[in-house]
Amino acid sequence: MKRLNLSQTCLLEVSGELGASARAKLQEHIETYPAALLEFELVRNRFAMLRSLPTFEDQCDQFTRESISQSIKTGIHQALRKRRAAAFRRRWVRVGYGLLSAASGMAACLLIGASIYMVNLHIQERQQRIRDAEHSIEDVAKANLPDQSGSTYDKMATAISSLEKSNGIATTRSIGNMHMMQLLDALDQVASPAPPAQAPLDTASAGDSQD
Amino acid sequence: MDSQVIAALLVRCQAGDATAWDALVEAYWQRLYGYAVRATSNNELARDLVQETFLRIVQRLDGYSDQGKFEAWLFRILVNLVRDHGRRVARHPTRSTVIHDGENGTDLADEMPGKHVCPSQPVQHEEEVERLQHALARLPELDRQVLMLRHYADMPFKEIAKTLNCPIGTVLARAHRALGKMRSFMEVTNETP
Repeated sequence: MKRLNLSQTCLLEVSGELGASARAKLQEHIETYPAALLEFELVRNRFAMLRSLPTFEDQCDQFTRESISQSIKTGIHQALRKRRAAAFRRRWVRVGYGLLSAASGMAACLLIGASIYMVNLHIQERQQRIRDAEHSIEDVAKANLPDQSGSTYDKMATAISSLEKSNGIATTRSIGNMHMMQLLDALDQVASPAPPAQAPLDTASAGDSQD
Repeated sequence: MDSQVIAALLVRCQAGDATAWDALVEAYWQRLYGYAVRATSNNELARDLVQETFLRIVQRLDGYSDQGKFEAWLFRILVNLVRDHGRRVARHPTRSTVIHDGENGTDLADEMPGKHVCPSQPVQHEEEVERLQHALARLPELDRQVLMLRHYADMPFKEIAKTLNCPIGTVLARAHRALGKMRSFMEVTNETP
């Protein structure tokens, strides 16, 4: 409790708000000092003057009180109903937003999944096409190059491998010489071309040539 | 009403119990109305302001945690509503109800319902009551507010201090000063022929 002056304490006392111990102290003070008693009487009279003013309860009959009370309650009940309706609407709006969010999330997931699937499919198709192309090339290569055992290439490969086995890499480096030798051998085997036919000697041309 | 009972009522009100709201209204409406009707000098307006006070409680009670200050909160809302209404009326003085200090213009006591509502009021007191109401109406707003809350709203000075958010010493000083002024006004009117 804060410290109050005499007038304030007297006001609390006449208002009926002073505690027991404070009241006892005030009584003791009033009995001791006549000026304090005068101040107390002054405050009591003034407060009594205020209390003499008629209050609402003094002035209204029961019927008026009932009607005022009822109108206030009616207003509050209406407000409560509106509030409940608004809360109900808010709840459903919240549920609607929740469902919409969930549906949006699911749609987004589906879209992402579908996109990934499409990309994978595209990649697989592309890889398949590459594999098919490779197989096709192999098939074409096999079709265009039938078994050529005994051919010049095979002979050469066999010769090179045997050369590598027998003489090592250093000898292999001179494979160009071997090709050259083989080329020369092939050229040797080619029949010599027939000599060109002898044209009849023209006297004029013979004479020119002699010139 | 006991603060524990009020706390229990408030919990039920927060749960949306209409009967609890009725009980809460029953507990407070007469004191609120008593203050509002004196502060506004208009029965209908006072009823509307009290209803608005409760509606604001309805709107804000969800976030309210009771710490024994409900009454102060309730009356603070009403006091603010009355003050705002007074400011609106001051800006637009064509309205029928006018709140002022009684220093200029129509006296508040001229429109007080007490003069007209109470047919059973003793005749011998009527004149004195009228002069008291005039004296009260002539007080400055803050001083008058304290006395009206104390008398018409039957609110202890400690609660008034909570409601007006000021120290109890200030409230008591205002009340003491206001009572002195009222007495002076009464003596002046007694001397006036």
